[in-house]
Amino acid sequence: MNDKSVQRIFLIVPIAILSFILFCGIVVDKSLANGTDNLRKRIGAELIIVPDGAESEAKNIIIEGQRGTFYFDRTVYNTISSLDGVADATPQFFFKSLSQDCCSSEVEIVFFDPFTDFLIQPWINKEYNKKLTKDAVIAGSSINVSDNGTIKIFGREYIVAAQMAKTGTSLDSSVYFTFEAQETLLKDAEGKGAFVLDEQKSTSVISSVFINIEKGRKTEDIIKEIEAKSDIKTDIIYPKKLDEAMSSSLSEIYTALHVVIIISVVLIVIILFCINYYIMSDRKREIALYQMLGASRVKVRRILCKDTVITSIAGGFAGVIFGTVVAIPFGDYIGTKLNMPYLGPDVTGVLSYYAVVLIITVAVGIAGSLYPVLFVTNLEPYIALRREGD
Amino acid sequence: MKNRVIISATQLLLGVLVYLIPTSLFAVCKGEMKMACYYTKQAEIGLAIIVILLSIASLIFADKKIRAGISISLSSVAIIILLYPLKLIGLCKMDTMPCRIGTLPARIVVSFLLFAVSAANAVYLLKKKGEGNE
Repeated sequence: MNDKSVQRIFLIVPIAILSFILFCGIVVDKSLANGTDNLRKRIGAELIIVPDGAESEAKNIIIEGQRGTFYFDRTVYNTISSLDGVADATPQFFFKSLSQDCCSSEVEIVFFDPFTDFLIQPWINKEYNKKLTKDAVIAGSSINVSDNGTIKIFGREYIVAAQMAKTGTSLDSSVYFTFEAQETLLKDAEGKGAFVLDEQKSTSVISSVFINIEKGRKTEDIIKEIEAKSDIKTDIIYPKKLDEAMSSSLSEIYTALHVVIIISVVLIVIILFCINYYIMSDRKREIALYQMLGASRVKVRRILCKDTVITSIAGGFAGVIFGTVVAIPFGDYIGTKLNMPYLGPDVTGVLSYYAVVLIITVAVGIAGSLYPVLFVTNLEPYIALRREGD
Repeated sequence: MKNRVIISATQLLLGVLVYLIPTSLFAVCKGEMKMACYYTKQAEIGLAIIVILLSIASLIFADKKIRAGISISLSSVAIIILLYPLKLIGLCKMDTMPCRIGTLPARIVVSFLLFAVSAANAVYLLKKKGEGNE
């Protein structure tokens, strides 16, 4: 390996590291933002009414898309839906269970009312043109649908009428049934040895009521009315407030991420400057010779800058390729470890990040070589050709 | 000599990682029921042993052609490391399982690195002028 190749490797490696850090940083940053944004839209209700004491468990619906096992009487829904000022109200019943056809994974089973629903059906990604009867379900994006378009739960096959879009949360491993299927499914679950609570067996209970309030009506007034008219004690969850809390923990992650990126950029610029300064000092006689042979300063600078751009693109490209191999497949793992909704980019997203990272790495490469190039090309050839100590 | 030590040590390290990923670093689903990910893990332990033995052989043999041959075999093994979970044996069906969110991405990174290092080394050794030992 000659000296020039070694010098080039010394320039490519820090640029590749920078490009790797930048690419992974952008992917994590954008995926967290997309995940949170998507979950925010998916919750889609202004208020969630849950049983008294279930508030903290129910908050997981908003933070991680995870549901709990809490129940109250259906009369709460009947009271709320008849209230003046409630634009939409829809009940849901949650049931967690181990899947039958995959190792120890938890499937979240949700029973919903397709006629009043405004939370599930707007997010259907793939429709199979099947009617949503008691033998049909809507599956989350992570649910493995068999080739014949069915899934097996507690020994019974259900037709998959539609599949939801990905959220990057536990909502993806949910299966949605209509209330008609509740009795059969819970009987099947008991038959297969699943633990079913006594209160879950009743078809007159629900887990939550999702509400949207009419425009122009005050949330506080509606809450007061709910409290006054309902005989059963309830807890109220405000997705907006939780969203603010989630945004603040997200901003902490962003700050840490951005600090790492900024420090990396500064360090790499300094490293590149030192390496370039060393390389240019080493090449100053060669550059002086070009100038003595008639090459203008501008031409020499152009050649050196072209060299920097090529090196930066090579390093940048190596970094983004390795970044893609690491950051994209590890997306779900990062989301799970951060306990935040995480929705990875699609191909277009990845390509646009490539472009951004390559532009930044070329800019950083030029910034790191600018002064050394100007310094060497500004030297008078006779000074540059003089040996140390002459 | 320098190339031989650096490349063989890298391949050896990657071989050790192929073993450690499904067994401890990103262990596959643990449970009484043996799922596809368990059989993939067993098969990959075998592949890890092959990678480790071939890397040691590459460190011992000085002949460039032998080492190029070993690197070609290692790049093929790198492809099989990914084919076991993706096509030949498979993993658990749910996207949220540990074997899918942790073990598979780690395997992708290691097999990508093993393939890149071995293929580049094979090309370098075959293109390098002069017969014989290094």
